[in-house]
This record gives sequence, structure tokens and C-alpha cells, in this order.
Amino acid sequence: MITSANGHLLTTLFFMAFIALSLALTFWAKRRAKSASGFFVAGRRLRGWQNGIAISGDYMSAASFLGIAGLVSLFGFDGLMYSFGFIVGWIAIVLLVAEPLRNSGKYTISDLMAFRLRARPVRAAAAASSITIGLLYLLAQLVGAAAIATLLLPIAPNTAIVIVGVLMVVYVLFGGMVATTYVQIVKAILVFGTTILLSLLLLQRFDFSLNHLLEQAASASGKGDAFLRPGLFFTNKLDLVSLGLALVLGTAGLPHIMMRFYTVPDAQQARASANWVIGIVGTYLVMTTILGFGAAALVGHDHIVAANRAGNSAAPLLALALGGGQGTLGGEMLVSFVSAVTFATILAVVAGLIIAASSNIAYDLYSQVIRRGGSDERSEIRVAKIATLLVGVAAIVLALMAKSLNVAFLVGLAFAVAASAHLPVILFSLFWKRFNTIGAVSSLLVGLCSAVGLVLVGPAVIGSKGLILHAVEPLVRLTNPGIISIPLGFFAGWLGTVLTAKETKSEERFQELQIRALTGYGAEASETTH
Amino acid sequence: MDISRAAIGRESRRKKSAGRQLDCTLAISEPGPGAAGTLVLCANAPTGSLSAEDLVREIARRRHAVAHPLFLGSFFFFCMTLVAFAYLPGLVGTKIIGAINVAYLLALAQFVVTFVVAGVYARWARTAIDPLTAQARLRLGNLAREGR
Repeated sequence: MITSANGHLLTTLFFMAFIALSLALTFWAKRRAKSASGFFVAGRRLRGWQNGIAISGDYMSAASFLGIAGLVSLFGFDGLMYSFGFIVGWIAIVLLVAEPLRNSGKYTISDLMAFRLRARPVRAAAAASSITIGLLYLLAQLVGAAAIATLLLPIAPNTAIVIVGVLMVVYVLFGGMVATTYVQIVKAILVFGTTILLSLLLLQRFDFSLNHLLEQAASASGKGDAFLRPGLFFTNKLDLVSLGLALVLGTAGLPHIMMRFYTVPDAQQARASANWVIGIVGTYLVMTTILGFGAAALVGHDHIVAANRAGNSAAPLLALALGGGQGTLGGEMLVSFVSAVTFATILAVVAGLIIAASSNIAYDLYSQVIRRGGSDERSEIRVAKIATLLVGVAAIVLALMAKSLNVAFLVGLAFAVAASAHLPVILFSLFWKRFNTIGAVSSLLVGLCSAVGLVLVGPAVIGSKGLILHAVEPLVRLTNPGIISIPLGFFAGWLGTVLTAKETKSEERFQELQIRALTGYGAEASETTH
Repeated sequence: MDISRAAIGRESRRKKSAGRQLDCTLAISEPGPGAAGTLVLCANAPTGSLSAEDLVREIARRRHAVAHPLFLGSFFFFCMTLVAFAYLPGLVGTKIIGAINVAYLLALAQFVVTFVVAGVYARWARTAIDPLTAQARLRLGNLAREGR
């Protein structure tokens, strides 16, 4: 897509500048990540707005910046599903989960799940689903990195995957959550600024008339009014509903997002950070949808598909067009800047995911399950760093093997697992006195297995559009399993509980959890010094 | 429920603006005839009547009455929108202003609903929940010290 040496040089320069900046941040943060709470949750000393911008950074991933714009540019209205699904999910977080979670936990969402119940089975099951979600998300980012790298830089996709993976492990090992957060904040501001700039340049072309832009997009797409209506991408109607449910109910169960609520001092700051996210991410997502229509209108379907079949190059191509077109200095400057920012975004999101997965392993599995809470902080950090390495290597290897998987599909699946396995346990723990350990473990396992299992027998894996068995009809016609697996997860939690004996400890601790979750009394305090 | 709550909010603000000595930031109103069941909790007044347990129960009750319906309402609206997109193509394809159709406006409405719900909740929690949780933490801290 970028063919000139000038363009490559510019992209490389912007990219290097960001890496230098983020490594400097990592170095500065190194001295602040010595304790376990420093490494995992930045000492719980971040302000609400800082944490809000960092979480927003998690959302400004390759999947949203490239994926949504790409889907909208090719399929029109259906691409918007991801945008408003992502934002409505935050209502559940801000109203039901953020404050109780901050009040009752320490490092991971499993803390809330294990509060009333027998900790070891619940943590082990929750770690399995958390790590699955983390790996799916990591895969999506790394596969995205490979796809963009081939478009924007003169390097091979495999090289890109390895570079991104190794850089990330370095950030996390040395800087922990502090470095990851500051890298995320810097990047979020860059992506947000870039999106505003592109949107203004775009709307200016259409005299700031949304109507004019949509009309042009519809006629350029060759599909007319159908381009502005649902139905071009989700040919199976139930898939639209299923993905929508997964996005809205899954957000509150994403481990790497929810663990960020432990980085602030108290529940009020947790609420404030959620509100910052809603403001920033909401604005950003509205703009990404405009960019998609802009790409359809100005770049055109054929050019977008020629550069990348999934449409991932729509946003950079739009930047090229808005800057003046191929071969102009303005166009190449803009597309290089956008490409470098996109790469930066992937780096930062991957770092956040790795830290979440390593805390699942070091804290939930090692410290709580294997050592039964009897480990000291130093060994916890040591295990976390080994886990960081392992997760990094595993993600790189998986991504090298799974380059052909669709990025948006992987993210949708991660949300479905989160909604089916985690959300039932979080809600039952907070609101249902009778809930017991068997119920929680049933929810986690049934949610995880049904979500993953339905995908394995669905059209994404089996059948003409899938990976294997092209001649066989898929057993289910759903691409996203949410509409089946989410109710199954809730049902399993209920059934497992009512079929087994009452758990006295769980009912006693329910009172304690209520007091702590509602008032914040006894919540983990922030570190006073670093 | 919401209407009476709004009325209580207005009343407490009026009390403030009337320049009373007590800083009454919130009021608990039990449904019932007349003002007999109304209990006013003032930040700087001794509130010995409410135990820590009562405070926790009251916080839970308020969240149940306001935060949960807000969530269910917006979730229901989202689900209805999904159903409309999937099964009512004629309706959502209706053009409203130029090329802008019902589908696009419903999508934008999701953002508006999220912004409004978050704003309303933040405002409500600041006045109706935060003072109570601060009180409760104080009480629980005292109880723990006495117990020791």
C-alpha cells in the first residue's frame, strides 16, 4: 500500500520515536514496580482520569481502529454493531460491577469470585477462562500487527509478530503495571488525536454534512440504500443478536479491563475512571464509524479490498486520500503517522493483556491455588515475570500459526467467553445469597466450554468458510456463540447451586461481601510510598 | 419511585439554600402517608439512630431501587434495538433526514443513552450513596475498635 521509500522512512521514524518514548517511560517506571502491588496494580495510586485514559487505550486497539473502520467501509451499517456494542457494555460496568469490584478485590477479578466461596476450585476455573480470554485477545492483536505490518512497513508478517511480542515482554518485565499504564495513556492520547484530526479533515470535505457523507458513501459502495441498513454483513439474523449480547455482557467480565479498576485508590475513583472511559471511548467510537463511511466514499470498495481483503487498511488508506493522495508529501506524512500510531496501539494493548494473563498465573494459580495464599511477595513477582515470558512466547507461537484467523471474530469470541463464564459468577456472587462453589465452578466451566465448543463446531471452523472440513455443513450456524452460551453459563450457575447443599460459609461471607462491596470498608488501600 | 426521589433531592437542596445550620445532603423517605416516615440524615448532625447495619441495608436498598432499574432499562433498550435491526428491516430503513435513517439514529441513541445513564448515575451516587458509605465506614471502624 505504501510503496515509496519516503513513506517507509517516515513510518519507521514515527515508529522508532514511539518506541524510544515508551522505553523511556518503562525505565522511569522501573523503580516504581518493585512491590507486588506496584507490579500488578501500580500501587493503587493512579487518579481516576489517568486510569480512565489507560482503559480507553485498551479499547483503541487494532480491532477497533482498523477493524471497525474496515467493516463499515465494506459492509456499511453492520460494522457499527461493534462500536455501539463496545460502549453499551460500560453501562453494566459503571452501574453494577466497577465499585464492588474495587472494594472487594486485590489484583484480579477472581478475587471477587473467590471472596465467599472455596477459593482454590473457583480460582483455578476462573484462571482457565481468564487465560483463554487473554490468549484470544492477544492473538487478535498480534494477527492484526502482522496484517498491518505487511501493508505499512517493508517487513514480513512473521518478523512483525516477533518484534511486537518481544518488545512487549520487555515493557512488562521491567515496568510492570506502571509502565504499561503510562504507555497506554500516551498512546490513547495519540490515537484519540489522530482520530479527531482525520474526522475533521473528512467532514470538511463534505462541508460538515453527515447526510452528504452518508449519501456519497452509499452511492460509491454500489449497494445504494442497503449500505446504510443492517443486513450486508450479518446474513444470519441471529448472529447479529448473538454478537450484540456478547459485546454488551462480556465487557464487565474482561480480566484485562477489570483488573485496571484496582489501580485507583477507592470506589469513587473507580467510578470516575469508568465515566472517563465512557466519555473518551464513546467519542472515539462514533468517529471511527464516520471514518469507515468516509473510506467507502473517498477510497472506494475496490481499492480497500485490493489492499486487504478484510478491509483492515481502510483507515490508513483514508488518511492517504485525506492528506492529498498517493505520492504527495501530505498524504504520505499522514498515512505514515496513522500507521505508526496503529502499531503503537497494538504494542500497548498487548502489554496490558500480557500483564493481566501473568497476574492470573502468578497470583491466582501460583500464590492462591498452589501455595494456598502462603507465598511471599518476592516469589509472587518472580513467578509473574516467568509467566510474562511464557505468555509472551505462547502468544507469539500461536500468532505465527493462526495468521489467517479473522481479527474481529477473535475479539467477539473473547467477549462471548467473558459474558458466559465470568459475568454469571460476578453477578451471582454480588446478589445471590444461596450461591455456592459448585454453582460458580459450573458457570465458569460450562460458560467457557460451551462458548469455545460452539465456535469449534460452527461456521468459523467447519465448512466452506471455515478452517477445516470444507465439504461438511457446520453443526451450528452461529458465528458468535453468545446467544446460546451466555444463558447456559447463567443456567449452569443456578442449577449447580440449587442441586447441591447449602454452603454455610458462603452465606455467612455474603453478608461480609455486601458490607465490603457496598461501603468499601476493609478494601485494599493504596501504597503510601513507592 | 424516581419521581419521589427527585422530589426528595429538590427538598434537600431547598433546605441548603434556605441557609439552615445543618448540612442536609440527603434524606431517606419511607413510602407512607404524610411526612411521618421521613427521616432526614444530616452530614454534620449526630446520627446515632442509624447503625452500621442499617446504613449498609439502606445503601443496598437505594442501589436496588435506582442503579438496577437503570441497568435493566438500558439493557432492554439495547436488546430491542438489536431485534429491530435483525427483524424489522422496513422500519429501520426508513429515512428521516436525507440519507440518515432510523437504524443510524438508533445506533447513535445507544451512545446517547450510555452518556446520559453514566451522567445520571454519577450525580445520583455522589449525593445519595457517597455520604452513606463514608458514614458506614466510620461506624464499622468504630465497631472494630470497640470489639478489640
